[in-house]
Amino acid sequence: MVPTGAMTEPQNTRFDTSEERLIAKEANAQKLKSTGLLKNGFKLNLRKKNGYKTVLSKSNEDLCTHNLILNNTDDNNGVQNQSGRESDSGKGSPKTSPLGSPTTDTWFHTWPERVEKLKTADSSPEKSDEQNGNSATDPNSVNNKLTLNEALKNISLAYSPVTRKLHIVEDLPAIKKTTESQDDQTDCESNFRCTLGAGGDFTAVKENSSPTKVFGHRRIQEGSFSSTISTLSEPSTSGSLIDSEDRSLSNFGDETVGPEEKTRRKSLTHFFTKNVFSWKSTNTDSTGGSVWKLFGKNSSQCNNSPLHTVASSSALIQMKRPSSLPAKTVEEEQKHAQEYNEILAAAKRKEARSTAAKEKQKKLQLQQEEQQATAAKHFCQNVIPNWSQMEKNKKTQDLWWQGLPSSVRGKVWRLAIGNELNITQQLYEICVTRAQNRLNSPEPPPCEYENDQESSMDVIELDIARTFPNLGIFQQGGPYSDVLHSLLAAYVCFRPDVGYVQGMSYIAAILILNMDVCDAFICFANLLNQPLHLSAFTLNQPQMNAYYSAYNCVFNSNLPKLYGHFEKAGLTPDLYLLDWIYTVFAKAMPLDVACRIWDLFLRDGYEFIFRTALGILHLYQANLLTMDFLQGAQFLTKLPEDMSSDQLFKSIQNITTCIRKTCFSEIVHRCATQQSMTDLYR
Amino acid sequence: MANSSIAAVSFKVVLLGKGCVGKTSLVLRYVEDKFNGKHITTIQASFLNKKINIDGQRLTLAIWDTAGQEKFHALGPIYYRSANGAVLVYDITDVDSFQKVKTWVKELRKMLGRDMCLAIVGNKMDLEEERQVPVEEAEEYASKVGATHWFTSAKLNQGVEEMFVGLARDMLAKNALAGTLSRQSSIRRNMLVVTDDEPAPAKGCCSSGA
Repeated sequence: MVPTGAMTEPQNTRFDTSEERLIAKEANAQKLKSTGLLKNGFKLNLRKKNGYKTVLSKSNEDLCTHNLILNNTDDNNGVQNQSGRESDSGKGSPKTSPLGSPTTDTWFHTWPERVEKLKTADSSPEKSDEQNGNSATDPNSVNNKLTLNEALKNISLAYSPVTRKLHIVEDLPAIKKTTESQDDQTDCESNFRCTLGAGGDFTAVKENSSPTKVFGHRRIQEGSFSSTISTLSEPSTSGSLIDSEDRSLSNFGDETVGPEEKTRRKSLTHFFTKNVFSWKSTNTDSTGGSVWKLFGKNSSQCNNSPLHTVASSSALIQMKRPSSLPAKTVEEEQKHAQEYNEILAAAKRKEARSTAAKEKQKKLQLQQEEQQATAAKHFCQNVIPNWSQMEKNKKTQDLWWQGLPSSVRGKVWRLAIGNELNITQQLYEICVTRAQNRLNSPEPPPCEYENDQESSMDVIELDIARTFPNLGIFQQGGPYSDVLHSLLAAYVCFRPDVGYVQGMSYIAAILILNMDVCDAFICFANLLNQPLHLSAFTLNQPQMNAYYSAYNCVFNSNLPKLYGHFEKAGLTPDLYLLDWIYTVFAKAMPLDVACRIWDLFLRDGYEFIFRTALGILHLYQANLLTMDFLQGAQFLTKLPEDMSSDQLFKSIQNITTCIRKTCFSEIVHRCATQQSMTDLYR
Repeated sequence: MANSSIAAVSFKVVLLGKGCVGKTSLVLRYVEDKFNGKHITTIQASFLNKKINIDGQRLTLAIWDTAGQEKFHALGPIYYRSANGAVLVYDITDVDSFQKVKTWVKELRKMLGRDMCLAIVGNKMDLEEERQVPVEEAEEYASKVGATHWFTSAKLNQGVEEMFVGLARDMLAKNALAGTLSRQSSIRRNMLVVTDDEPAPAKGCCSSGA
């Protein structure tokens, strides 16, 4: 993927001789040259090609270029921080400034020291360099040399003097591999450099009096551009490399080397934008050869920089601006930097907010869990063993209102429902066997009772899969499909006079979800033996009308305004209440909310169903007041799915099912007698 | 007949039929254009409405989807009172469901007279190879009782829209015949008609149908 460093000597791919170091040094110099070149040359669109050539021909070219880069970077910083204090303000951007002219102060101030450092670095063995790790050595050069060696070992391009072009001599995967490893190495190097601390030996630092902070700022800025660029259509070959590049960048800044490194990378970026495509497109047919025509024939030797390998594709994202566009003005750049900082700050604020919210939620959840745990403990240790004494206990009742912990829910329900009918496991098993016989026999036996039982048996099968279809566990072949079926079929055998009525499957399912089958059956049979459900499931219309009348009375006393509206609209309770009674809200509400309703339905008895119904009306009062008959009927038969249990329970608390001192069952009784009286007189 | 100057008319349509013949699926397909193989059991009626435009006449169909189980038959009057139209659904693979349609027709004609538009619908057309109810029998019966007959597949979305639009047209025509009578009074008239006309439709259709 990446253009690898080319050779100084044609047709050679490996250094095994003792001259290696020498050549390496040479190559190092070349690399530095080219980076300087790239940086400036491309910004200036190779306007100063001849100038570079002269520079390159010098004997101490490496040091020159090195210093040039350094110098130039310093200029950049100066311009950046001091708002165009530098003389190149006429050119606008620091990028467009010419090669750091040797006439500037920094140039002279810097170079003698640089010479020494570079020399030491180049002559000393790399290992000792690393170990000494001192300010005496220029880590940058170590870095360069290391990468150079790596590059040379895995060289993949060779220069042919005949064609004056570079040829790929190795296959691509190998190149890629080396490139990546080298990139990592660069990363390490920059980390290493950081641990050295601020060297302070570079005069450029003093000269410019630019604090470390500035570099930090620049770093961010750099990052900004890299991230911007990566979203542009500029080639970005590998995401992982971006990351490593960013990391290594963030380690710069304590030393002047940082900007220099950056500069080099930047320049590489330009290099690549010019060439990466042509290189890419041709590397597939490597035999075709001709690729890099970077500098034409004049400067083809400049291509030999091994640093190309190091920078790899990640350099692409370091580019501040597509090379085809004119450079930004100082003001513009500052503005953009500021904008970027604002974006960063906003993002940070947002992140802080979201973490705070998350933390809060976590805390809340933890608190709830703790509460649940204490409640569970209370129920397990105190309530369940001494049910009759503890049931009416204040603490128990309070905890019960909060919602039973799911771990004890089944047990508490079982105790709360009781077993008035004295159903035993044997009885349940007998019923199941009978039901199975009936289901398996092809000819339905003659019915002892009404037609109900036989026909309702068939409906069970249809309804099993339609019970909590979203849970998926009662589906055909689901884990509880057969359990639910046998429970309901057993009930039909247990109470043939009632049989199966649609809606029962929800009650059975809720129980099965919380306890084992036998207990669920016992609870189911006992629950359905309660007056309200018995009337409902036997479709005892007069008795149901008494319940509806009582409900209307309580409705009127609790929510008179809404009651009036419902009366006017013709929304009678028989249109929406039956479903709620039949399934005790299991079908109408989200399962977790329904379970909480069930907790209290089993604590307070059937009147809690009516209380909850009014609680729902209370909760959606404002909406319902604006609805006509059809909208209201639609709303009440299909409640909002995002119902919050806390809000609902707050609403329920506002409802009382008593009118003054008359309790609900008494109201029902009165309504029933009233009804029979009117029936009598009719 | 009706022109756009007349305010939007609202018709009440009730869906009746045996359990699991696809009443809810038909409504959901028509109103929301959805089909869900595993929807919830309808216990009580659910209510949906659909606004349509027929020849420039805007009208709202208030569709009442009812529970299918035999047990809930007793609750029928709550849902079909003052309905303008009824969709009587059977499953073409289930003979019993067609018998159930016949009992509903009898009951509706008895309670609401001939003012109500009936559409008999053979659903689950996609299961044609399992057909149990002969086409001729169903269509013959429908014409005898003055109902339209349709075949639909809620699953494949075939004939659903046509059926509801056809029923809406029938209701519009009936509505125009009713003339200047407001809907409220026409409901009252329905109730009166029940006693007046009872013998006529009963003889006309149900005796032969049953």
